[in-house]
Amino acid sequence: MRTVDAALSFDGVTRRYGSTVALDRVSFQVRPGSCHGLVGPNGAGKTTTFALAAGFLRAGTGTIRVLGREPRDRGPHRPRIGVLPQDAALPAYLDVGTLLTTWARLSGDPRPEAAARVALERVQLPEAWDASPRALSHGVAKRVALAQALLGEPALLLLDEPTAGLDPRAAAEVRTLLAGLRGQRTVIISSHNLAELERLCDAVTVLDHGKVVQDGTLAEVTRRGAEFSVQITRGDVPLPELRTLPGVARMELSPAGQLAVGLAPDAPPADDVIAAVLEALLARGVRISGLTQGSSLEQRVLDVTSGPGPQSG
Amino acid sequence: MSPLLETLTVTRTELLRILRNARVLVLLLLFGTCTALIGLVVGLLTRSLDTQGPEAAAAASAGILGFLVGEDGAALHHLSELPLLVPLVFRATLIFLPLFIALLGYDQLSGEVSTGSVRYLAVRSRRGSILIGKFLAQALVMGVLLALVLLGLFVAGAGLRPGLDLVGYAAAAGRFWIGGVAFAFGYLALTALSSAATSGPGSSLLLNVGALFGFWLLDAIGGRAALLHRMGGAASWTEAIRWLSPSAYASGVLGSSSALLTSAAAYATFGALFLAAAWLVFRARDL
Repeated sequence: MRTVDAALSFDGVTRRYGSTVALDRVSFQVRPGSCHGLVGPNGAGKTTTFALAAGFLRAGTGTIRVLGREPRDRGPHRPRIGVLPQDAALPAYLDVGTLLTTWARLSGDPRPEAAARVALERVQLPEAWDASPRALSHGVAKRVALAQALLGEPALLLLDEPTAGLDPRAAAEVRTLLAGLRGQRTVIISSHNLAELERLCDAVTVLDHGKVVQDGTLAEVTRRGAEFSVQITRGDVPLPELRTLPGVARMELSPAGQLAVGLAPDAPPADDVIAAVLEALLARGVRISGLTQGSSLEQRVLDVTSGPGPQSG
Repeated sequence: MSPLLETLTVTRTELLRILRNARVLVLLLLFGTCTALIGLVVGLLTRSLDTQGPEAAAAASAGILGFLVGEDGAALHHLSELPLLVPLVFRATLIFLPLFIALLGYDQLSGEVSTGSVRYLAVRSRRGSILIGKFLAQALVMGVLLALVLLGLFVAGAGLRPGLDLVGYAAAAGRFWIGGVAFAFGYLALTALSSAATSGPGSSLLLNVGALFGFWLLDAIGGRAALLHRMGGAASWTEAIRWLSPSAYASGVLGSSSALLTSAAAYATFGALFLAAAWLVFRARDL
């Protein structure tokens, strides 16, 4: 992928806070129109990455390009981005409608008030128009902040923890909204809810202690084409026989009855190997309750990361 | 969006922020009360002068005005046509005006940086537009506050001297307002710089007040050296350092047209320097 083709690209970016290295030679790219997850433990550097991409911080070294431009460019050809910052409070001095209208005007919308009303409706909060941000619950304030990120029809959305603090219904509504944006614009989401990212994202970058430890499509990261597991509920698993099947490189049975199968690099298509394994198991009367391709994103993140880093984000 | 429209949008929002906050009303009341108290003291003083007879009163007034504007003959002439209360109270007002300006605007940027809400602006606006937009709003509010206080002062002064030439009196009021606005411009820019350079309202106010104290110290040291020199002492390089302080140019605000222009130019220069520094700092800083 060439830099100019990426909606967002980090190339060898380092950022320090005093003596603490928040990002250490981070490089990754985000494909236009994709939904990209940014994951990692607390202190991994996710929020710093977002703040750099939004132009709130300066990189120490390295190059960042947002829609082909410098992230701090606010000139006439500024990158059209929408940002949901993680910790930014809504200004308390104006009501929600006036705030959103002002931001829509600054985003260059020719009909700012109408755009602000549409944005509030998209987050299912039309009734919040006259409310003071002081009176909003955390969840409602988060959705108002999400509405502001949608103003100006941004080509790139940077959403830091968009569903954190939301009740299950509100979180589901936000996920539906984000799913509806797929393909229309590039969305980059940071979240600790990895199941949510697995449902929404095409690709992920895993950060740990300021470094990229995994980067690729969701299938690559979760190794969907390289391993699968079968949940056994009853019966004797013929391990020696299964290990001789074509394409099987590794096979382990856990005490909990999970049969993990690793595929050889030159294996036939994963579907064929799965079919052969299942046939062999069923022929021996083994009862099966489930099949999972690859590892869950959560498992992969746990595998490749260590504990929390020195600072939040 | 053009930088101008961006700036005006920020100005409008900042005006709403200021006007919906009770602080501006409290400051106006405080400003008015301070002015009224000074006026009361000055009123009592001038009344006691009047009891000493017209000649003695005129001589005392000339002495006081000379203390305010030095040997500026034109200024002494036009100030002598005003009730003594007016220039004296206005000059005293200029002493505490910088503190009111600091209290009005210390959190214009630092307050939004501390809560992170500045990010909602910074993602869609140039940082220069944010800085100048907020500065303009502060300047507009200060211009109106000054006008209100001067109106009160001149109305009170008119009550002390019946039969005033109202046109000339109104022109003097306008002149004082222009001088006050020029004076305020320099200090408003200093407040903007303090707010742009810090990450919290408390540290912004502390920096602003510290800078005011530093400037006052420069003026005091330089002024003392100049006084000693005038009284026959040796010339000292420290005389010149007072001109590095904005407060050294305050007497020109009440002076003749040329003195007023010089003062206004000095405050414009200070304001431009502080604003340029604020822009450089705010442009480079993390938000």
